[in-house]
Amino acid sequence: MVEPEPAVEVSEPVAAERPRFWRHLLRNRGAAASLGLLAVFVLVAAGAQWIAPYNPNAQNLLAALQPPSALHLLGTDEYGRDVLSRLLFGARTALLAAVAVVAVSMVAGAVWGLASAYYGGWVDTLLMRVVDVFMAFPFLLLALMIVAALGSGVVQAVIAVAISYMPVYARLVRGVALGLKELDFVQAARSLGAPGGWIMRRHLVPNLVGPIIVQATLNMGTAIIDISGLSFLGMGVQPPQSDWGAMLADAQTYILQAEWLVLAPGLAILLVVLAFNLFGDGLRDALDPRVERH
Amino acid sequence: MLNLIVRRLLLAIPVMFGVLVAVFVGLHVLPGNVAQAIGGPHATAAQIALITRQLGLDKPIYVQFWVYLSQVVRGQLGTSLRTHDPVTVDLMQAFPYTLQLTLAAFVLASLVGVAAGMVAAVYRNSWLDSALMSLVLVGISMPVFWTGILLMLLFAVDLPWFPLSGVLSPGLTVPGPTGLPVLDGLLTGNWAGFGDALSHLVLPAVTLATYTVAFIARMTRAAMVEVLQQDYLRTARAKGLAGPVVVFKHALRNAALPVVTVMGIQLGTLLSGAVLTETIFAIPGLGRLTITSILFRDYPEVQGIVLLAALLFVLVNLLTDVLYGLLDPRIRYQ
Repeated sequence: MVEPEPAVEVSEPVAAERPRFWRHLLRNRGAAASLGLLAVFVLVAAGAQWIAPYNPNAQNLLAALQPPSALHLLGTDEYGRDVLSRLLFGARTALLAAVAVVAVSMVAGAVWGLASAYYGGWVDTLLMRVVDVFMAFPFLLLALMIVAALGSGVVQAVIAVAISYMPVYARLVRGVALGLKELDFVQAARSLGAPGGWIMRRHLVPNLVGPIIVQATLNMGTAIIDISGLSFLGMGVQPPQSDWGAMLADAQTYILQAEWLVLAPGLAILLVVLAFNLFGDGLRDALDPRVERH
Repeated sequence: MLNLIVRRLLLAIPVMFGVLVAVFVGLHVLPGNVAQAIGGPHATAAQIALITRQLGLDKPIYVQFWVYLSQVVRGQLGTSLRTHDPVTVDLMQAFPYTLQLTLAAFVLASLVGVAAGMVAAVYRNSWLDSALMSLVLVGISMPVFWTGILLMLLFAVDLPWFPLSGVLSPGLTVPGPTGLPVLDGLLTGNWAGFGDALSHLVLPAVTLATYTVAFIARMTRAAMVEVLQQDYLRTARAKGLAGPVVVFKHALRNAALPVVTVMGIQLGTLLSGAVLTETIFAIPGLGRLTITSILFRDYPEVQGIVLLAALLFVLVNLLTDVLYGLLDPRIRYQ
């Protein structure tokens, strides 16, 4: 049976707002610049094997801990591996891990929050209490506990961080959906007999896209910090895979002999996270017609 | 007020119960056989069976949960597999260091964050505002472990102003009633100990505070900008009140609500950051204990830490709510 389409077509605010959205976003200098930086980051992550001057895992113990030179622009680490090459490949690790974290937590959280808001009653109470319990843990401790149960590794770290982010999306989606549920166009669709799934897909999801994208963009930055934090502690990305957090852990070990090791990976994390934060703020302002810059 | 506290305490009970269930499920049902972990890789099947029986792991899951629950409620968290001390003893040894670090970072972050946010709001759209907000953006984007290593490199290696790591210089102890070396030094008049403990605390506290300073500054600015545009502020200025009176007495008090909420939430972030900060600066607090316990698969210890952290978090939220009630009479009488 074909799903009944309601007779009245309700306006779609998201589509109509598109030109205004891009104008606002690109007029924001911070957002425009960060978009450029993020493009470079994605390109580097995608093309690491063509850009990197050396194999990131190739060891040369005779050339260990060399300061930056024409041969090795960012020097070499304790195994004589080229730091620049490891930095470029680290971009790939960071990008893939962050995308995985955000995708998993976003989808799981959105389903959780939508179910909670749509069904209400005891389902809502139960689902939200579970979220409260998750939120009662300090984030890193929750992630560490999950890693303790699942073991160390990049996949486990992604799952751990994604689970600890999930409640944020669940709450966000529930909040927005509860507000939308009472709005006229959703009430209209419902009174015309539109089925629940149809209303969710057609009206709730499009209106949720904005706030979720903003949250996801900001979370890309925090995910990069958190995954590299777990790797820094030795519980995320495992050697010899290149990772910015693991590079910093090594750098701390050799802080007295090789100061240059400290700079590049940290600066890379800072710049990428800064770009995601700036872009997320820009997106939020561009998507919200009420926001005026103070 | 008492009514509010009681209501919030009652609300905390299901959350803590949920945490207990989550920890139990996490450590007893998920992959990784506890008896195997305790016995080690070379344990025979008979040894593992013995450990399983001793721990009651062969009993039905609801019996295990009941035993576990009744032990936790009585404060019995078991024995560490690594140190062979009661978990509570290990926790009590590590806790003061984490408390000292977190408190120092929190005080620092609150003072600097609120001050920076206020200045930015009062002089908004000036170069000072732009400069402060750019710093805030960098502060929010800095990974805590990089901040720590950079500070260490600059102020302990290149400029040897502060010690590289640890809580006290080797061989030094600062006995006292609280277990917090800085506070104990101060309380007992042990000035050498106080100075030494303080110099060890500076870099870790600044490291841990960086993100929170930035976050609080941002929220304070947003709240103040909002309040400064209100009609009653215009009235206060129009009737000729001095600038500082308007800002501190009229604006800050009303901007305090969202800021206090953010501070409460930030304490949880500080606890997370403490894990990394303690690892960088080799501070023997709860964070380091967490990492060591996880690496050693010391399940009773991990469980104790998680329960303690969740309890602290719930208490902090309760404190935030109470403070909120104190600041806003509307909440008190709801």
